[in-house]
Amino acid sequence: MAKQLGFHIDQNRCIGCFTCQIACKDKNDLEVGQRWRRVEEIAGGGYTRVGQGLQANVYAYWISIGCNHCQDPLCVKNCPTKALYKRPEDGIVVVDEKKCIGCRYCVWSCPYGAPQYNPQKGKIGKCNFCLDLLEKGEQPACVAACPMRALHAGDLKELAQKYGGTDRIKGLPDPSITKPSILITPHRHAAVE
Amino acid sequence: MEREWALVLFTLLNQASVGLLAITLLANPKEEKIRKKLFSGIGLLAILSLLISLGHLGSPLGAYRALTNLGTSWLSREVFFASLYVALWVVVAYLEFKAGAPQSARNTLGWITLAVGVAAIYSMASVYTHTIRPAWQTAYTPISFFAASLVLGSLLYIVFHPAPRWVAWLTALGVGVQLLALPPYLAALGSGNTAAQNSARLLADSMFALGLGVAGIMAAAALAFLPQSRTIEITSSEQGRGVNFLYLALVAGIIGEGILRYLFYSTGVNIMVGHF
Repeated sequence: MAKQLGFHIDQNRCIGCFTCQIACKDKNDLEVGQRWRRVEEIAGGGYTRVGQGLQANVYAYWISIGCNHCQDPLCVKNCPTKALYKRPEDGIVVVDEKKCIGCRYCVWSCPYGAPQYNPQKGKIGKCNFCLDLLEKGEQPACVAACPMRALHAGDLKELAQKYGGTDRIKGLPDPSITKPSILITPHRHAAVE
Repeated sequence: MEREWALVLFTLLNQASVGLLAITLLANPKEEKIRKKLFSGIGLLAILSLLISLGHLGSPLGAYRALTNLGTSWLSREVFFASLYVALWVVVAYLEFKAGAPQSARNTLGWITLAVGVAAIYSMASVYTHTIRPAWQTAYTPISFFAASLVLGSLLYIVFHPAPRWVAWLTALGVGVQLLALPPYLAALGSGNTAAQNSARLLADSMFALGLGVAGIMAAAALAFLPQSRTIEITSSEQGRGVNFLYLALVAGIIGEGILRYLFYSTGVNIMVGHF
C-alpha cells in the first residue's frame, strides 16, 4: 500500500483546551462557523448514593477531529465534479476549489463533518493537512500548536508502531464506513471493550 | 432543519414531468391539440426543474462540471439523466409538433425518453441513499420518489385531458404505496441509531405537517375519482363542477407531496462525532 498520512490523538493527554481548533482557524484564516479542526466534548456519568454520601462517576473526554483523510472516502466517491480527490502519493484528501460547485453532497457524505460549506465563497473548504507546511518539512498547525503534545501527524503505519491506538472509540462513527486514517489512544471511558 | 427549497422543487417537478410522460404514453391520446399541450407541459416541467436545481449550488455557473464523475457519483448520474431527458424531450416534442412524423418513431422515442426519466428518478433517489443520513438511506426514498411521480403525473394528466378511469386508479396506487411505506419507515427511524432517532424526533415535532401532507395526498386520490363519474352526466353545470374537483385534486396533491418532500429534506440528520 502507498503511503497514507494520518493523525494520532492521545486522549489521555488532551485537556480540551481547543488550541488545535484555534491554530487551524488562524492558519487558514477561517470565518466564524468554519472549523476544519474542532474539539468535541463527550461528557457523561452521574452520582450514585453510597450510604449517607454521593459517589461521583462523572467523566469528560475530548475528541479533536478534522478530516481523517479516509482510505475509502465517501466524499471523494460522491463528489460530482472530482473537486475532492485523494492524492496518490500521501493519501491526503484535498479539494480543488476551482472545480467545486458548492453542491454540498460531500457534507452529506462525511461522518466526521470535515468538508464545510463556505457561503461567502459558495464552495467547500476542509483540512488539507497544511500541505504548504508539510512541503517545508513542518508539522500541520494543529499538531505544532498542541501544548499537551496529544496530537501527532505522520505516516499511519509509523504512527501505529509508535503510539498504537484505534479508530474505533465511543463517540466516533463506525470506521468501516470510510476507513479513517486516524489512531486514537482512548480515554478509559472512550474505549470500546 | 435544513430548508432545501430548490431541491424540493427540483425533485418534484422532475418527477411530475416523468410521471406525466408515462401516463401520456400509456393513455396515448389521439387529438393533436391535446398531445401538443401534454408534451409542452412535460418539457416545461423538466426544464423548470433543471433551472431551479441551480439554486441549490453555491457556484451555479460551474453546474456543467457536475457531469464529470459519472463513474462513482450518483449526483453526476442524476444530472446526466435529467439533462438527457430534456434533450430527448426536445426531439420528441419536435416530432410531435411536426406534422406527418411517423407514429412509430414518436412512440419509440417517447418510451426511450421515459426510460431515461426513470433512470433520472432512480439516480435522484440513489443520491440520497448513498449519504450518511440514516433517514435517507432506507427504501422509503426510492419508493416515495417513484410514487410521487405517479401521483403528480396522473393528477396533471387528469387536469390536462378527460382521462380514462385507470388514471385515477394510478393516483390512488401512488398514494397507497406512500401510505403503506410510511409506518415501516417511521418504525425503522425510531429503532435506529442516534441520527435516525434524531430524524424520528424531528418528524414527531412536525406531526401536524406530516398529517397535513398525508391528508393532502389522500384527498387528491379521492378527488381524482369524483369528476370521472360526474362528467358522465353531461350537463354544463356538472361538467364545470367536475373540472373544479380536478383542479382541487391537483392542488391537494401538490400541497401533500410538497409537504412530504419538505419533511424529507428537513429531517435528514448526519451520523456524526459525539453520537453513540
